[in-house]
Amino acid sequence: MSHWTTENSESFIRRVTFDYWTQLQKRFDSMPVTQLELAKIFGVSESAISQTLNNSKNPTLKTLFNYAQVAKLKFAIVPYEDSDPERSPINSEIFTLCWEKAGRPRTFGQARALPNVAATAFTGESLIVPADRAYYKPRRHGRQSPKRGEPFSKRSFIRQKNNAYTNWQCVLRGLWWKEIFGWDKN
Amino acid sequence: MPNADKFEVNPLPGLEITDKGVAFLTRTSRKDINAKAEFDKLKPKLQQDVLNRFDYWIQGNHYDKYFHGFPSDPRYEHLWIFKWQKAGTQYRLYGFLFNPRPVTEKNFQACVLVCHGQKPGNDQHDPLAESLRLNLSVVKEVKKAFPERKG
Repeated sequence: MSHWTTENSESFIRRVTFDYWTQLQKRFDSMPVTQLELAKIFGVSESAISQTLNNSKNPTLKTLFNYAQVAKLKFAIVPYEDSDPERSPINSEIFTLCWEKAGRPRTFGQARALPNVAATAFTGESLIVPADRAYYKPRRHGRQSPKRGEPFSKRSFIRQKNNAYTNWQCVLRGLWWKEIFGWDKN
Repeated sequence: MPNADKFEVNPLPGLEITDKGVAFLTRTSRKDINAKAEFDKLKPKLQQDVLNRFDYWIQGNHYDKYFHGFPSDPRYEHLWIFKWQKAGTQYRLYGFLFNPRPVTEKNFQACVLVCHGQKPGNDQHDPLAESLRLNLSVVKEVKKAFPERKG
């Protein structure tokens, strides 16, 4: 069965704006900025702010921009190809999360230099980690890397900041990826 | 011959089922089990935003303003609510979390929505969702709605 957002353009747009306002709300919560303060900034009533943040209206790009400015954020409009168009749209926070985990590349060159994570992580190919990422090389006493499933203490980790290196053995085991990126194979 | 009056659990059409799924519990003779009835009455835009909240949970995200449990209250360990606000009133759909796939998917969570409430106002439905979670007929219907994975 198709996802409800595939019904028509209004449904899809409502979902996209919902994702946007959710990210903004979370940001305002963390700053923190109250709806009363936002009302003063924009010169509107608090209920108008509430309606906007609760996705009651179709916002213009200018509105999205104005709120992002207050939240000290930028935003991008990201068309992408979905291999299964009947499914729900990808949540915009996932794009943000991926960008952050990729080290926040700012140029096409930086982005193209990134390893193809899905292809290399579990195939045993060598992986170069960018030198500006802090990372941990799992190491146990007398052994290079632990076996899958073995518990290991963070105290036994060696933190290396300055040199990029490959560690395909750990990549095979999937442990390193989980430690650095918080990704689980499943 | 009239349909037998029994519990029914129906996953919401148009929502994905990942390691989580959302369903409504219904029973014709039980007016207190009114989550679906109240959801169906919502205006289209508001209904879509409630669906957005379901999706947000299904995708594995967290946001207490949209949904949460009551982890610090042992009486409501499995209780779950989805909530939204309109004109100063907070509306809630109460349900419970349950894993109907303990064999093939240990981490699966079904959220079975039972009743509707609002705050301030009528919060007295809290015990209903928990009591129905323990009802064997309800459990059977949840397992039917979200059967174990094949293969």
